[in-house]
Amino acid sequence: MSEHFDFAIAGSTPLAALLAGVLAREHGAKICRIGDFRHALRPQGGFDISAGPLTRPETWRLLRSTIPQTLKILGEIGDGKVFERVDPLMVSITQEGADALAHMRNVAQEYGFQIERQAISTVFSAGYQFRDAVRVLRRPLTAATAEWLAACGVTSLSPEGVTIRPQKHGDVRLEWDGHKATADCLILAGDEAILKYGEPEYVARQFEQIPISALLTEPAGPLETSVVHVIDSGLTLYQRHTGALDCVGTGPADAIGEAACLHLKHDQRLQLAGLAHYTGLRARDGASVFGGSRDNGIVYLAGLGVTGLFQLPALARVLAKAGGPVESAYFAARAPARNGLRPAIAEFMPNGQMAAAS
Amino acid sequence: MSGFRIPSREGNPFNGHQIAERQPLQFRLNGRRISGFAGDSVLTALLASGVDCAGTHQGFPIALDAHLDLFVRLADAPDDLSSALPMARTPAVDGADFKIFRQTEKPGLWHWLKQVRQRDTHSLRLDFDAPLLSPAPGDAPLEAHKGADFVVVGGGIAGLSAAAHAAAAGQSVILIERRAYLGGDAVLFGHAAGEEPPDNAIARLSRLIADAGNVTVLTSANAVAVTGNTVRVHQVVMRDGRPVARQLHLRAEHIVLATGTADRLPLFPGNRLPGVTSLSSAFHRASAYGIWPGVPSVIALNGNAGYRLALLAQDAGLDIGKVMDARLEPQSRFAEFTKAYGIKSEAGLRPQSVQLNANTGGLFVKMELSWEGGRGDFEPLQAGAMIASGGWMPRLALWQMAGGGLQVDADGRIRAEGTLGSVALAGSCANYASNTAILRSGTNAVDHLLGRTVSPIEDKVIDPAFESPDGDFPVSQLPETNTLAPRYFDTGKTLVSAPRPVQGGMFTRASHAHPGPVMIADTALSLGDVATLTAIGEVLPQAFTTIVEERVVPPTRFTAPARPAADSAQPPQDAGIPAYLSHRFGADAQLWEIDGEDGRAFQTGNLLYANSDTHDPMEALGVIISVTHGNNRNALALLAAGQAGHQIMVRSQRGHTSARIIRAVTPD
Repeated sequence: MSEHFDFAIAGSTPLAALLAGVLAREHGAKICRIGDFRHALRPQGGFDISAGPLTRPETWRLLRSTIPQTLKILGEIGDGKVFERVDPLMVSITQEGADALAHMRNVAQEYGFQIERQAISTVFSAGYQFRDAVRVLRRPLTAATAEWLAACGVTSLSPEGVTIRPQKHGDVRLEWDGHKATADCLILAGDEAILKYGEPEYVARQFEQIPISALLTEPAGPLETSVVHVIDSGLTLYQRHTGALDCVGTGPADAIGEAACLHLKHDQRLQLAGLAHYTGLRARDGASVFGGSRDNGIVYLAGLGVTGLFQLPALARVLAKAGGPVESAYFAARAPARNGLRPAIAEFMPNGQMAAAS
Repeated sequence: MSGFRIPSREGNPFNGHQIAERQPLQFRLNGRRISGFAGDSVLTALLASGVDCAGTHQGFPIALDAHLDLFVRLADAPDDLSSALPMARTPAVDGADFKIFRQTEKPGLWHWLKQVRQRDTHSLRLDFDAPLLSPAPGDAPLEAHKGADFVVVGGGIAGLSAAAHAAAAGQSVILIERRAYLGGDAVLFGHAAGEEPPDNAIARLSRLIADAGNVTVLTSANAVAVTGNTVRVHQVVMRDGRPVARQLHLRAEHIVLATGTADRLPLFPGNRLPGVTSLSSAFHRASAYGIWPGVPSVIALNGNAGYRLALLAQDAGLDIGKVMDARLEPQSRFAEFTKAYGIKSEAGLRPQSVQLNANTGGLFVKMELSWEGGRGDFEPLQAGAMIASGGWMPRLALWQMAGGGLQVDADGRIRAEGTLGSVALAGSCANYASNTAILRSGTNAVDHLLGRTVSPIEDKVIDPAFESPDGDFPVSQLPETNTLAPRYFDTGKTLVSAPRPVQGGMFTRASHAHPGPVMIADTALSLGDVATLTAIGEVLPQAFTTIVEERVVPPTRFTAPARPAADSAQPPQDAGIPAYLSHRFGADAQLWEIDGEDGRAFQTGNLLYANSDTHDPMEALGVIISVTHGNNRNALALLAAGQAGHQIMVRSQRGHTSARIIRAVTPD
């Protein structure tokens, strides 16, 4: 007799893994997670930070309650040493970006987030620094999550050798190593999972594909602060305690490397230590996506940005149909639209290319 | 004991074929006077002068060798990256004044005090823990160079064979060799009965190439990347008696990579301390420059070439204290000769750790059994130097950069996989072992690229019953500890080592298969690093290719683009509504001009409310989207609904302030 799951969650991001554990442990769901973790030697594919360039007030309102809940979950993994406190700096080069950051600030601070305007160099038109945000340490989290998922009762499968077949009635069939299983719902958590398992026509209609480069540099001099985000281009930088930089952005590696140099306080040169290319997805209105077509039981989770992991508790509640009215309305508004456009929730969109500094 | 010049004598295989003992010279390096001979490089002159330590890394001394890729410049050359000269490929020049390039030298009283310690007088005192921007090949001035039909990378017997064969086929050839001389490692490996001795093959092929007229040989030239049909090369040449570096981009119809093999560094604490040398480095320093790292020498090996080095060293009058072979019952004609020569050798042993002997300047070498879980209760050996070999790895970095495939086994042994259109492999990097096969592979590579028929190569290897193959990669079972020097994964400049226990009593898991917390390496990796990580289980074989593609990257530097001039003149504000504000205040929200009533300034993003009782953004009626240029008490606002003359509250950093709605604005 084949096994049955409530949810099959495909994705190799921390959000995918933690969502599996929270649904299993806190909502009693039977979960199969299909995903691996990025090897620690590979350049970082993304970041999980509790503050990001968000302009919609409902998102900040959601985060106000979900960040502490997420920290409680993170505190139970890896002896609680899977996150650190950071003061992310959001900067812009263009006036449009500066305006968006100003809007972000005025909204975020009303929900209790500490954010200050900073004088940055003449290259940048604006800078705002969050105080006391949280950044997830993906490597220690990765090392500790397998054990946590097992304790939550999640069945974990590596994507290699797993076949996923969505069925007409909305459920999903899974096959691996001679095993067969079904799931009521398939959640595609993250761009890689969507590109691998999503319906190609649907994905093409809802998302644009953008080339992303993830760089690791050798140790360099200090950045303005350990986390920097350039809103115009979508470039995010993180400086490790060794001085090495993780840089993730859209476009070619050269442009990302050069733009990263601008944020070094002195000796603005960087040496490449690693480079990965992959394809990301962005909704056509820049906002997150939660939901799927009505034809099958696939739920697409995309575009949640750096703060996505910190929306985890609400995501799990809504998926488990235990969400409160406010969070249920929030995610309902983020369901995909037929034409891919949702003006009521559109976010600031980076230009998709590295903005030239000159 | 540190490196020294081997006394020359007749029949000495280590007489130093590159140096002219009748032409001594002296130069300065960072003010220190260094002696050498014509034919020395800056590096070999340093080594022969007893400078065997490059500096410190993670608190321990690190050996000076070519793999660290240190750079110098002439003191009167511009102090910029274009003047950088690689120490290992820069000729020592009589009377020259060199400076070590752009390395952080430890200043201050503490280091003056440390001068009195023996090891520091043999050290360049560089700090490898400080962030450094080392010169990259791309910093050298780019010179135009005519391409050729063939570029052959590697001047060993496979490369010589390929170059000679291509020349004989009427093709123009450029042969690139990173050392100052041709020949590669063939003499170290010797030859089987019935094969052409490598010395003969090298001499014969070198003559053919010299006589051909259509072969350009570039020595002291390092191929750094292969992109499409272009080979990027960094070379040091002499011009007007001065060494200069240049960059060449050689375009070729066909490329043969005959890049040979590199030593694998056995994994044990102290594997890069001063006095510890790889087999290949020890051989080339001895045969080309007459330099030996120290006596008595301990040789740790897991293959047969190490026995041959021991024999050659014995012939040169050098004291080989012991040969330890990690294989349990190795069979080799060279091992038999070693015993016949009276050299102590023992099987089933591998290095457990090496420490510096502060009294003698030599080493304490601790051994462990290479079986039974690595039990090691042996008395440490005292040695002047240690020559350590963990086997051989094909040099495939250029192949990988050119897009060639790689596969690896669980022991970290790499092989090339697949084919590339205009690039072919030859020699030991293509996994050929016998000299006959290696020579043949050079001609076959050329024939293959020319579209000719090639017949399979029979690689006649001596029966393993008589010549044991290389053993498993030697990994010390000693738990990681901060009291011993790091265990490095490779010989190169990446300096990636096994993670060490965190200070303050938090210890890592200590088994060799999982040396600790997840590896975090913040430099570009070498193929050797990734191979070792695979051998110790930190990288699974199926993840090897991805890690190599993403972390074994060509030297690439980024610099900040030129900054734009500060622009204080703001352009007129665009009255359009940005997408992130659409529907924020309803589908019918409009633009209104508003005016401050109490003189306080507005800012873009300030929210507007009906009254001062609330500041919940979800209850805001509007937002300021721009302030009027030169007068920020007058602004453009997006409002859910408005009426001229009505009052509204603006929420700023200082709290609420009142404003009046002036008039509706229609966007252009």
